[in-house]
Amino acid sequence: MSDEINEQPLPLRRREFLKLVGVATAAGAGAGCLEFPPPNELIQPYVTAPENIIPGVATYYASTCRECPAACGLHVKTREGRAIKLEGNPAHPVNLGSLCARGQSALQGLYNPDRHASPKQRQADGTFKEITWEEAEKLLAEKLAAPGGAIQFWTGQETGTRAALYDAFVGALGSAERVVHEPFAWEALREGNRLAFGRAEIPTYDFAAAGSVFTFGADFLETWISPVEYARTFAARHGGDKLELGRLITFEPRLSLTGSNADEWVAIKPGTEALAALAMAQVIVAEGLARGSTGGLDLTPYAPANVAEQVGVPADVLGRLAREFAANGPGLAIAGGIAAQSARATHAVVAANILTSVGGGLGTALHFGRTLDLGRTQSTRELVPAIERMNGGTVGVLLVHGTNPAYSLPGALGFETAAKKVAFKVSFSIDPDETSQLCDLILPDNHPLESWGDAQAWTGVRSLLQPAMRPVFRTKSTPDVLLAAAKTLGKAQGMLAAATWRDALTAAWGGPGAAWDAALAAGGSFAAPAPGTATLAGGLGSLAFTAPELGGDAAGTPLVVYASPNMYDGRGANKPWLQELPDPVTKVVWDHWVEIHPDTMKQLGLKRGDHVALKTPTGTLETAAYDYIGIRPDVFAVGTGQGHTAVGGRYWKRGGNVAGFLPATYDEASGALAYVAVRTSLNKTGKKYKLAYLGGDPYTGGQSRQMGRGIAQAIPLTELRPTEHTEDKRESHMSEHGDVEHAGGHGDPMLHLPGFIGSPVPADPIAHAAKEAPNSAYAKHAKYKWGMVIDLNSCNGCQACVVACSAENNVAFVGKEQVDKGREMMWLRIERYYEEHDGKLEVRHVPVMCQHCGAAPCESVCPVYATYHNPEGLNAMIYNRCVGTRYCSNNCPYKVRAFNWFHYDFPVPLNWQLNPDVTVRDKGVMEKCSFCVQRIRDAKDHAKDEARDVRDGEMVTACQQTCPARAIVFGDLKDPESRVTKLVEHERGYKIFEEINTYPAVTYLKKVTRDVPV
Amino acid sequence: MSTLTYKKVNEDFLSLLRNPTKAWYVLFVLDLLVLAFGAACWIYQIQTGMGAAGKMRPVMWALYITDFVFWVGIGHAGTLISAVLFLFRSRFRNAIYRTAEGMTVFAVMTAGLFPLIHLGRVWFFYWLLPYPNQRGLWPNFRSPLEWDVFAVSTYLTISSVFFFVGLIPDLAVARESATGLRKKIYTLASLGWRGTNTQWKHYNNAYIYFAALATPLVFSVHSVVSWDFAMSVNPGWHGTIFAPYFVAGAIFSGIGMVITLMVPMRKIFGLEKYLTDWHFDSMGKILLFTSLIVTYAYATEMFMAWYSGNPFEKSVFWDRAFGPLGWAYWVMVLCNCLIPLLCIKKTVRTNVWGMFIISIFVNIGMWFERFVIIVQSLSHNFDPWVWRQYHPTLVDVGISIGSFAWFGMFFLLFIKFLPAMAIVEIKEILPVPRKKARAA
Amino acid sequence: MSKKMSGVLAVFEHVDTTIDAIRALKQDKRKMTVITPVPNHEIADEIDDTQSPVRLCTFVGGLVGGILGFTLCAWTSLDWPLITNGKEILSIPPFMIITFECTVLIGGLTNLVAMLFFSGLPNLNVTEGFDPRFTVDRFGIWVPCGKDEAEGVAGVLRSHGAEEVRFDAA
Repeated sequence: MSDEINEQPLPLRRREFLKLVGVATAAGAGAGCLEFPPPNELIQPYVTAPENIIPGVATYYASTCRECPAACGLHVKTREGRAIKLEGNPAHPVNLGSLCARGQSALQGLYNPDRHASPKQRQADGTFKEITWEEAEKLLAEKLAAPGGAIQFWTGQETGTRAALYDAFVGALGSAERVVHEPFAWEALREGNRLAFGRAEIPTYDFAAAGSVFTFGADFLETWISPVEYARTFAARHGGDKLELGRLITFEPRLSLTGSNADEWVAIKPGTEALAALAMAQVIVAEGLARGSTGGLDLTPYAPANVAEQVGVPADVLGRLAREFAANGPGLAIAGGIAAQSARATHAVVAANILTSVGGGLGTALHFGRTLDLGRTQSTRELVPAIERMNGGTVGVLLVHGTNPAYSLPGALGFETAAKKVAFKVSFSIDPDETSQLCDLILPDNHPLESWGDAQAWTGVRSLLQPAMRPVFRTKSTPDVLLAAAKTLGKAQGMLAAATWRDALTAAWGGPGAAWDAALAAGGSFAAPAPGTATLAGGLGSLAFTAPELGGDAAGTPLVVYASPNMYDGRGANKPWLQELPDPVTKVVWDHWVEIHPDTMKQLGLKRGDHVALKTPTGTLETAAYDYIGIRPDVFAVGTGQGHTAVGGRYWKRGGNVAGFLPATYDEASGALAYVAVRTSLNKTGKKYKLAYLGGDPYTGGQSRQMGRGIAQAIPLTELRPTEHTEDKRESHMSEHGDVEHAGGHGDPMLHLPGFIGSPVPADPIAHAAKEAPNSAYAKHAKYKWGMVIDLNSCNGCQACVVACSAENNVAFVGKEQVDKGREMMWLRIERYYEEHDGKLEVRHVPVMCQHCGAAPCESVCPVYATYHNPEGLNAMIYNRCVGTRYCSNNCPYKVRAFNWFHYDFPVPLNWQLNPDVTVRDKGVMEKCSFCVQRIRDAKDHAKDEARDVRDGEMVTACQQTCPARAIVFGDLKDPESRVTKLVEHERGYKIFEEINTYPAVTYLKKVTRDVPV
Repeated sequence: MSTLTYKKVNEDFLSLLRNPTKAWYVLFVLDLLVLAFGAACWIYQIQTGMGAAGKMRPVMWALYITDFVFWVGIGHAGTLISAVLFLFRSRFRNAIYRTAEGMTVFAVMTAGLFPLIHLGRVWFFYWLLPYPNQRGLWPNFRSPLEWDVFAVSTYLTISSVFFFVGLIPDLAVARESATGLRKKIYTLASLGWRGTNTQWKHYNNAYIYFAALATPLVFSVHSVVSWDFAMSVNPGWHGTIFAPYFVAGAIFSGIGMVITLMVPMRKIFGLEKYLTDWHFDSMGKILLFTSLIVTYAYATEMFMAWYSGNPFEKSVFWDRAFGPLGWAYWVMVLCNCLIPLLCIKKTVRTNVWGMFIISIFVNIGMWFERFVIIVQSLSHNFDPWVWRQYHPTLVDVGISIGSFAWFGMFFLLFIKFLPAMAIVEIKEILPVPRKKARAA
Repeated sequence: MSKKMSGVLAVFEHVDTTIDAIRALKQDKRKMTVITPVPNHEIADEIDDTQSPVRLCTFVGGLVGGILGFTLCAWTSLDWPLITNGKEILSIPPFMIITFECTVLIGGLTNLVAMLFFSGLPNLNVTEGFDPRFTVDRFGIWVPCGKDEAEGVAGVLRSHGAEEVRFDAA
């Protein structure tokens, strides 16, 4: 066995590896809590312990995330048969151990109280009645035997064996078709690549290899294709100390999270991505800087001078950026994303590819060495005939799995009315979504975390899904249901002959055996990516690039629809973590809103939170107004994913459904639904409404500006790497400390007071303090002193850490009303600050959690020692001692302590997710970040088992573990060799509010601003 | 007072102890109703959690601590009058000190409730007391809140004892005129005081030392209360001026409350010949003096915020004056700095009802002072990201109003069942009865 | 004062007459108790000029209180040393506050106890050598003596202007 371990590439502890292998045979034999609603549980010992379960010891199962098509690898942490946390699979090439907020929240999908708890049949009166699986499967078989018309099987995007099984099943039925609908399926991207490269695939975008990155609406840090992977590779290129490489420029009408991380934001008019890209390509070619072909396209008509007007950007800006792009090669230009999905989306992609080509990025930053296969998805336009057939009444049976067309298709397509014409409708949906509410029979599938399966991420990267626990509810794996149906129909040949879905899967993977076990343990089989090439096809000359005509009232305002980073295409909406997780840029929670530029707000006489109605010819969207500084004044923007209407929506019935009210217009080339397609009018509804958001604003007294307090500091690249463009000191000071200079001298940074109110004495912002906190001698016998370093140059504000923290530490969600009152419980928050200089908007994200101060103001004021400084440098919080004077929070300069104002509930079975290693706090006590003290304990135990000290990098906090950008480093400050110890001395290092002499254990590394090209 | 004789004094004050009138009962019942509402609010808050009150991050303290400081402050005037003025042998004290001292005891009893009310887990309040326990854990004596526990409980004990000792001879007086149950009670309460020469000797001696102990105590208590704020790092709280500033404020508000209580008493019980213009004149002077100190403190805070150049301080004080809570600040300035200036004129000081109105403003102003210091400073802390405004709920308000009823209840009982004026000490300042004029 | 003593009780209207009577009684070495509605230093000086021991008790009490207060802080902090805010385990300045409060508290309470003790309180038996008028405006002199001496004492008192003299039997 030990040899095997040595061969293992997995950086896993031996124990865990054994568990993972064990899993192969154990098939996730979960224990306890297998029924719902749970019976009155008695506290009983495991008299006969279930296999693979050591009480108190976590078991990890390797699986795959199905929250978006990227298919990241998972390690599902289970305790006593319950999945309690999702972490990235360190061995998985897509995410290398990281996981985004949505991925981690899959747990709350698994334990969602609103899930279909059993098969249901619609009664005459339209209500649903719970039935047994026997009845249900019998009914299904009957209907499939005599469909009384054609059969349509609508599924979401599926890859690998499951897709094969579906096709086999549909094939066996005859007179049946499989319809694949994935809301964000990147059709335009594939079509654009087909035109440009002759390959309808998604190539490898290697940010790490790119000099300059220009993105045209592609929000690759949030939802675009594979955000976790891109966040990592982008940080590897642009973050940390990678200072020699060029800049990220974003071209989008509305500043996305990706845009907020860009070095420059070019606010182009919606739909003009192609023109902007070609204009710059033209400059590069015209000035003889081109390093690649233009695919036979004559660019002269797209010269900046000609298109500047349409693009809404001065020609000289385009020229300047074009030269920069050429100078800092290889250049990578990417286009697409929902926010850029217009009637000209494909052309935008082609144009971007041309720009990449002339920028010399082909073959290096963009190549086809490893491509992303999204399975056989259909564009929205291709769905129309299928819907027509339903309308025609020729469809007898409709099967729906893993997709929610009633919600995600434009109402104009009339899916709902069409579906009503189908005699018998079956839903395999996990959640009571809009589509399943239309159906006559509901056969709830297992949640992916309860299921077998596989998924193809990149070519050569096949990921496996295995059940991490027994089903929470009375659900049944859909493939098994289909296999059973096939048998009763006597169609059990080929793949359908398999006894169970697991057998079918195993067979597809070459049958049981060592290889299968190893694959299960590793989470799949991952071939190393082959080096690839990309060459621009000729004959692009025939293409005519124009800006799209937007529908709707010509006097209206163009509406940009973007993919919500939290809600995605709507599947995130039923997860309280994601609802309470603030939107990364607006910081709004539990809600839906339309983004409007503050000046436009003034003109329209609106203020934040006003309830407004957006009208298009095809519908009305009621939502709340939000004044967003990061948007063109002549554009409105709304996010997708809210506005569910399905019954039983405990968390997810909020705001309006954007897809629903869009017109059915398509990208001409690819048939993808055009999300940027219409102009809209906006009127107040007069309804009283309130938005809840963090970070405050002029109305609540909070601020989105750091008022020169040096919380999110930055340093111009020119100061780190002096060049001829070195700016004058004051400029740099501005970007460093926020709006204006820190000291009180001239004018007041905090308030922009008139000069005469400025103090005669300049403030001394940084006290001349000893490096060590006073009286740290008492800790000299302790073996460790824990500390953390956060690199703001890598952090992109994605907030995956926030969810990781909540999951690891049983942090309660409190709901919109309480967040609005300022009572959110999150232990870790990302503060988002705006900086404006030279009329340029800069956004800074800074994660703030307990700073574990060496001299913590919170400690000495507690009358009952509920918080004190432990010898390992942790600011310990002992819940049981707390009587709730709340003095500690008053005296915390960082305001990172959260108080339990009420008893917060985790509705059953959401409480199954709670981490047994962490106390669940009740009303009346204070709580805060503990540096994951339970993980420290765990690491120390493992070290002790092996009679050694904890190794550097062995102890990772939850936030650090999941961070896609690797912005967080945690470790022992007493170890001179540890990474933290080294980074604390970093030239970019600083501590927040150092002048208060709190001696924080958290060091921040200044963000590097690149106002000018390197 | 030369017209007065010992006998007359007795009659006048014992008459106050006659059975309560209908008006008194009505007042008392109303008071109990308000108190009941406050109690209901508290019970509701304990059940649902502190969230029932309007607090949130960053304003973790609000009305309750405001009320706490307010009531402790009220208490101080009583001790000042009964102890400090006693040491100064100030004669105008004798007529008013009993009421003032009663006010002290009841105010501190009220104040003492708020640290409990504001606890997130009030059912564990006793964890703040130093007692040996199975957890082997003692309180943290570095915490200003722990200082409060000692300061306030000491203050309550000492002022109650002081109050009681002062009562003994008067209870003996009451005893002799009372009958039935009352007589039994007064006999017990007066401990069988006779007024023998030995008793008087020890009594006077002890009284001096009570005064001597209470005097530094009164200054320490409000200093400690002020350190609840001054010991923190918060801009707007972290100031060395806080202790003297709070003590002055406390006496200021206390004198204000004494006047507020005495003027109606004087009218209702017809005590004009005991509470003369002279008394109000003297109290007016104290009011003016302390008002000026408080004003100076406000000015100093603002000046230091500007002069120090500490950006956080500057920001918070700018916000204090011109921010969302600016109105409260200006109410405070009006009531505490401007209106009391009227006391410069003797005609105002000796106009009883004028003083009454001024004292009302002082009470309001001093309540707002604490509100501004606590709520505004917290709402505008170091990190702009968490700045928020506090909005009180019915529970906050209900409990605060209830506290006035709680105080009122004790005061109403006091004026009816205990000698509201120091009979013996008033006699002391009368000429002693002699047969022949004293040989010089 | 469990068993009642017999003696002569005189009631005076005026301070000066009372003082005369005291002087006279002192000459025939009589023990007496003077009862007054208000403390009167002339009488006090006349009858005894010793200092009350209460103040000493108070001083000692305060001292003890202070020591207790500081010991409490110091010992409990050392008993389970927990560092807060990087402050010393023995943080003297904050402990001084507790010390002070305890000084006042214990000092005050000893003061009370001492006063009660020395003035023989509580003593609910107030009938002996007492007259309700003494709480109003009359001064009294109580001379404990047997029936045989009563006449003489009464004579002295009357001669100095007692408005009423009576003999209380045991």
